[in-house]
Amino acid sequence: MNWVRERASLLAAVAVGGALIVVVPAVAEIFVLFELTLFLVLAILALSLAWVWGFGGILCFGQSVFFGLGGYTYAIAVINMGDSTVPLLLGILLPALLAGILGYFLFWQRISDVYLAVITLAVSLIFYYLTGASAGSEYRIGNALLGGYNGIPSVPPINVPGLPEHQVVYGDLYVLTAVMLAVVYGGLRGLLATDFGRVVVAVRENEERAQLLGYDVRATKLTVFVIGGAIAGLSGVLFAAWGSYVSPNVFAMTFTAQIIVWVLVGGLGTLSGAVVGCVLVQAAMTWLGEAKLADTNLVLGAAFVVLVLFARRGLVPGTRSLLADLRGRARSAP
Amino acid sequence: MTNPPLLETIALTKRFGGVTAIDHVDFRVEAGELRCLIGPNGAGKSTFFRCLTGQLRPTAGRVRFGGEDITGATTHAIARRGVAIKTQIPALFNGLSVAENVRLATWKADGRAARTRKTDEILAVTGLSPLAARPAGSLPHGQRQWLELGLVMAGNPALMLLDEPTAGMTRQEVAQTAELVRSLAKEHTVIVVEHDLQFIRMVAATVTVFHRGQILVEGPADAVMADQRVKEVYLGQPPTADTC
Ligand SMILES: Nc1ncnc2c1ncn2[C@@H]1O[C@H](COP(=O)(O)OP(=O)(O)OP(=O)(O)O)[C@@H](O)[C@H]1O
Ligand SMILES: [Mg+2]
Repeated sequence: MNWVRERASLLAAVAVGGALIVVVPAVAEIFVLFELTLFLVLAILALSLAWVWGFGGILCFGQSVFFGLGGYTYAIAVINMGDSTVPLLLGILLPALLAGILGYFLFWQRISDVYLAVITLAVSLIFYYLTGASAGSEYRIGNALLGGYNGIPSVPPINVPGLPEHQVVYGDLYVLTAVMLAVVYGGLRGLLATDFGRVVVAVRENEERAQLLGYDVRATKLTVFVIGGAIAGLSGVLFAAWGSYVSPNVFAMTFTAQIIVWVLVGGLGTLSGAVVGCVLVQAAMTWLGEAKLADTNLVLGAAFVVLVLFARRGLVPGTRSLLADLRGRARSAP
Repeated sequence: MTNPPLLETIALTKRFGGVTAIDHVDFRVEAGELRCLIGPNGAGKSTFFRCLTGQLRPTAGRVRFGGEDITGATTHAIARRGVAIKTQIPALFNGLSVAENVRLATWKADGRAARTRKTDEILAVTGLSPLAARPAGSLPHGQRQWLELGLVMAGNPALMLLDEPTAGMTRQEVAQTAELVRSLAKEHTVIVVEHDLQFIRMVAATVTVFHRGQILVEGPADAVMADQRVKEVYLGQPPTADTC
């Protein structure tokens, strides 16, 4: 019974992934594709928090730090280097390194959940003000002007490794992003199925018991955090490449809060929920913004409150148990 | 020179602010021994255990395990050296299945197949096989105790610390647990904290009595039970100057 459900969910994931990568780019208009690319970029970011928080049990309210650092690293490096290959890797490595340093401090000092949330949030605000204060021609790294709150414009797109003239834009960027999303999702699912993944979940369930069984909780959390930082960094790189632009807004409070909303709407403790939550919320916000019916943040906030009240566990777990209920009722019916 | 004891504490002390929960305890257990630790509520038994596992850092004194100083080592490092504990309130992975709980404790077994085999073996011994797929959080109290015993057994530790393994159990379950502990003691060194006299008689071990963070008496079960001082601390202190 259990493995039937496992297979079914795997099959569903593969089907959705295939449709996203193959079918959508064939039928969607270029403008829609451009918009969808952003949703998928952000879905990768949502996955990083779903992993760190929902599976690692690390209440990180500053996941945007790694996203923003990834974006800035890519922008600065690619402006200086031209070819995007090394900048892309740096945009993943640097956030992972920051996560390593921050995580070492947080987990070896045994900072409790709430303080951890506050500290990570504070770090993102520090980045917000630091990047914001970087206006003026003296704030430059090589050829890249940091630009303060105006951010860095004209960030070159990703190119085929070693071939700067082969740019990955529009439809190609969509496919690259969809593939990256699939790789991250599949990679995390695979990781969760390993012994290490089981220990990650065990630590979330009961840190004390995990320690008493001989598992190094600090090292486990650090590894989870670094992986999460790397994924958020990747998302940041794609974001900067997608919009040819990065600004301190990636470190802003509202954006950090948005990531948390995606994960909660989709359902904490699931990976697919983060993707669903992110795409739905972003789509709704875009639509509301275009229709100009009401203030988007107001409507979003209200919708979030309603959801928390009526489907507290989020959309994906809520739908799952609803389906299980219906199936149970159908079976018990004569 | 004789072998060092498996476990030895030297003037072990733990203070919580003004409260001295463990007070200069010199304690030793030989390899292969089965020891009962008793004492009234608040005597410091659980605190003593937590100092041994590294869950608490002793205020003063040393802990030696297998002849090596492990004072202040991390909990997981001590666990890897072969100290396992069943805590007073069962600590389980509530959201995971019973089988998954046990599997996580089989880290010593090498490879997937060996872990599965060990898991099945533990589930059978603890009688939890029929409940293998249930979430640990849904088990009734008695079975939570058995599951945690299973976790302790799965790592095949040199030293087992069992803090009140029969709490909340029926007479029959207490007898079964005593039987299990006796069989475990054939291959492991075991220290059990227990209030239940039936249990202590059944395992017929050496008994150490804790009182206000110190060792009051130590000896064979019958002699300790008959000791006047032990009766007094269990039945209530007669009024003396130092109780005030
Ligand atoms: N974390 C703590 N902070 C402060 N005081 C504590 C702490 N843990 C234990 N104590 C105190 O230390 C003393 C010993 O407690 P402990 O739990 O070790 O006793 P015990 O012998 O296990 O009792 P019981 O039979 O009720 O389990 C008690 O006075 C208790 O209040
Ligand atoms: Mg106790």
